Amino acid sequence: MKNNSTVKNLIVIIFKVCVAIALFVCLNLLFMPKYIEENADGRITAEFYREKTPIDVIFTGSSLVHAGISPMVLYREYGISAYDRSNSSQTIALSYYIAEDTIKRNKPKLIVADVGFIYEAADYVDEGASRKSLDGMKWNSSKVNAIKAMMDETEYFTDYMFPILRFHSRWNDLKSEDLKYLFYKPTVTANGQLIQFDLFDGAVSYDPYHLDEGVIACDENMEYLQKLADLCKENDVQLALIKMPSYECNWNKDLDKQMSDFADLNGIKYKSFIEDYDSIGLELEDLTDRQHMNSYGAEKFSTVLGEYIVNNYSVSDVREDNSIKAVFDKKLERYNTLMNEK
Amino acid sequence: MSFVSLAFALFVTIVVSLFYIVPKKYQWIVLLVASYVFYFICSEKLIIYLLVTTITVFLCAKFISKSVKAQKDYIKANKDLSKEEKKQIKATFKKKQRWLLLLCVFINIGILAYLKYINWGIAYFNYYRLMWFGIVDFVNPVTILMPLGISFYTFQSVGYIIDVYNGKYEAEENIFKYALYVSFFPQIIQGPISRFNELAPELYKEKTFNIYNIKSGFIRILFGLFKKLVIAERVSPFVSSVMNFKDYGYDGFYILLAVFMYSMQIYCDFSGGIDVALGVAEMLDIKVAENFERPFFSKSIAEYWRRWHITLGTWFKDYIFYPLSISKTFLNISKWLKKHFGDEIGKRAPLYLPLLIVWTTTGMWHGSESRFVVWGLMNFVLIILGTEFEPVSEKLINKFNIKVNGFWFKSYRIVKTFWLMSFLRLFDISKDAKDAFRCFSMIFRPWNNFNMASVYENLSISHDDFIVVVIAIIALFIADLMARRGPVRKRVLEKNTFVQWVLVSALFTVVIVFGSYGLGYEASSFIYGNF
Repeated sequence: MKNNSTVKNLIVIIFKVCVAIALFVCLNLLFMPKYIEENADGRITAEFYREKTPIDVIFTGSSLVHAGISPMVLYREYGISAYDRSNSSQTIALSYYIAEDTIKRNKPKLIVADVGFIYEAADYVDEGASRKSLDGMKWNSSKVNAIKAMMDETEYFTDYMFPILRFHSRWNDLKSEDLKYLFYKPTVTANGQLIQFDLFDGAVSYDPYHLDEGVIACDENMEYLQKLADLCKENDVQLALIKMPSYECNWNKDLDKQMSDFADLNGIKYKSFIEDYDSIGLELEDLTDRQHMNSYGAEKFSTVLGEYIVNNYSVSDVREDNSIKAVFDKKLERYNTLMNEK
Repeated sequence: MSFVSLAFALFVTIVVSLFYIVPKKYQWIVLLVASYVFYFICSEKLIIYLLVTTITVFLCAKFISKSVKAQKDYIKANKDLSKEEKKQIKATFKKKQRWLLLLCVFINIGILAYLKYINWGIAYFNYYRLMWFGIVDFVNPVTILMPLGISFYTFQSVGYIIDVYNGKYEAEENIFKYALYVSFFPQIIQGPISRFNELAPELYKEKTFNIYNIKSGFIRILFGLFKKLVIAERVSPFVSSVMNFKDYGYDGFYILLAVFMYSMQIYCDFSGGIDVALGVAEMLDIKVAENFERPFFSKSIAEYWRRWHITLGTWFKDYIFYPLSISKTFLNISKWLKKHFGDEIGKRAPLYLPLLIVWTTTGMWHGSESRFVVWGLMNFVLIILGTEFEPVSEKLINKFNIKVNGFWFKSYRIVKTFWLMSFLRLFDISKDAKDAFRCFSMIFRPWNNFNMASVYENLSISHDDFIVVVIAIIALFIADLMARRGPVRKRVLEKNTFVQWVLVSALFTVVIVFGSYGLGYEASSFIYGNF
């Protein structure tokens, strides 16, 4: 009799705890920004975990990457299976942890890291931007270390564990989108690429080396770049360093030299596409603003980038594998639809 | 580690779990270790002040207790002593005890006074040297780090040694047990100021786990967080903005609104923190003195002070007011006044003079700036006026046949007391006493410039936040009304499990969602945590 009552009490307690946890999880899900209809770049990191097919090439870096590199063009033109794991204002430290997280889950053949943000100060933190990556990451040691690296002194680790503690102030900003996408979120990127057609008004002149001379990457950023090189070496993953082209580039020749020297020292290649703006065929209508390409520009640049990858790195043509081809053909079909929607 | 942090929630969870897991005879040790860990995390090396107070008060109290015992033993062993001899022996012992008491009080109140008033003293010293002698070679202020809750644990300790001196109880024999009484972590930040004979038995008693205490304590903590995070933190920027912009057109009704909101802020901040402290204590099945009894329902200022910061009020009453009222000095003053100014004044002197000292020290306790002393004196004046005009108001009540216990008259008295106390709080939020009086006068400027759109646009509170504050204050008012018949949480726990869960989940959700905390907020500090 007593045993029965104990079991009953235990079941009641477990049920109550489960209900409390479920409610708390729902609250967290409700208040997290959904990044579907607005700021879709916030979905890039999380969407990667849906990918079931092997990915050979991973791109990391800032928003220039997910705006300007089209994995679908790389597939269409060269049979490369690729994914953009970049995010807005993604620092080199965060790129390192994203790469580490990728290798743990889906060991790629090549990681292409855009070093465009390496000139930023060591303590540069754009909390809003880095949270888009960090909240999207699945929990593992890479996420924990990434959070620790990106947090400033005003932030709390617990705010990342329980996002409602950070986003609760959205209570007066909740929209129907928050309920609509509470549990299910549609795919919004094309393997990490954000499809966008906005046009740049061209109010500034072409300036590939917009950053002051003498500005170079700080030691801390170079340490993370070294860690990235070491990580790739240890895991037998090829590493390519690139600098994305822009109409107005926060870059200078000193940084170019610093990156070339680093690449030489580590036996890897560094390729700056800054001066290839014209040869790529980029025009003002290929840009959304003075720095980012739109999806037309991404088509042009990805064709050039694909050729560079195929010529310099060992990546296979996944079109020869029927199962992967079938998946990628579907993705390509969706991409084409999105491109034609315009 | 703030009360408003997940670290504190985790800390409490660990302490409560350990408290009920360890053998009962070690429970008080868990509390002692937890209290010192908590204090060290919060104050680091400033823990030395706590140790100094604990050791000096413990030793002095022990010696006093020993002396009292020795005195009794001596008299007992020498039964043939004459009355006069006994009196002389008692006086000899008492003298030694008094010296010990004074030494201990001097050390501890000295530390508190030094930390709180040294820079105030230096500022005045510099000012008067400049004014009187024209010396511009200023003495630099001292960099001081205030140990957390020093006013609270010093007062608690001084109360203890005075009680031991008065023979109210014997001194604690175990220094570690005494250390727990001084440092008990839920109440060390902002009180309540507990009495040894009430709190110590609770701390040392062996406790059995009871889920009811956990639930009840948890609800009290949640309600405390509701007051602190949903109301106090939300109105705080608005109050500061009005005070900053009052000279730029935000006067009149803006100030009146800020005065009302500040009353809500300080009540919710202080009583919210106390609710968290007492909720944690309740989880540990430890009864701690209440510090608030729905003070905004008080019908007079004297009553208000019996219901607001109760333990500080009773401390001043027991350790300053009563001893002074019955002291030889005040009785002599009373006699002298009776002789020279008549019975009426002589009768009042032993009451009003100690009261004046109590309110001056209460003001000084709240802050080293002169505006707090003025605030204390204003309270004194209002209490005296209330007492002196009581016969007049009684006459008026009789003349107009007013029902003293009727709803309207009671409401009038409650509203009047609320606003009087609220206006006195202008001394809290103004730069100085002069500014407080000026601010008060600014309320009576025309109100036609008031515009809610301007509040939302320029005074650090959005339309949505304002709505939340209004709803939360109404909810608090209803909860306080319901609390007339006992704690609301006790009644919640009488309901069936489903209703309990719905209500607690709702309160939890309100705190989590509508609380003003996290990045961009300063929710971790409490106003009374600085005392």
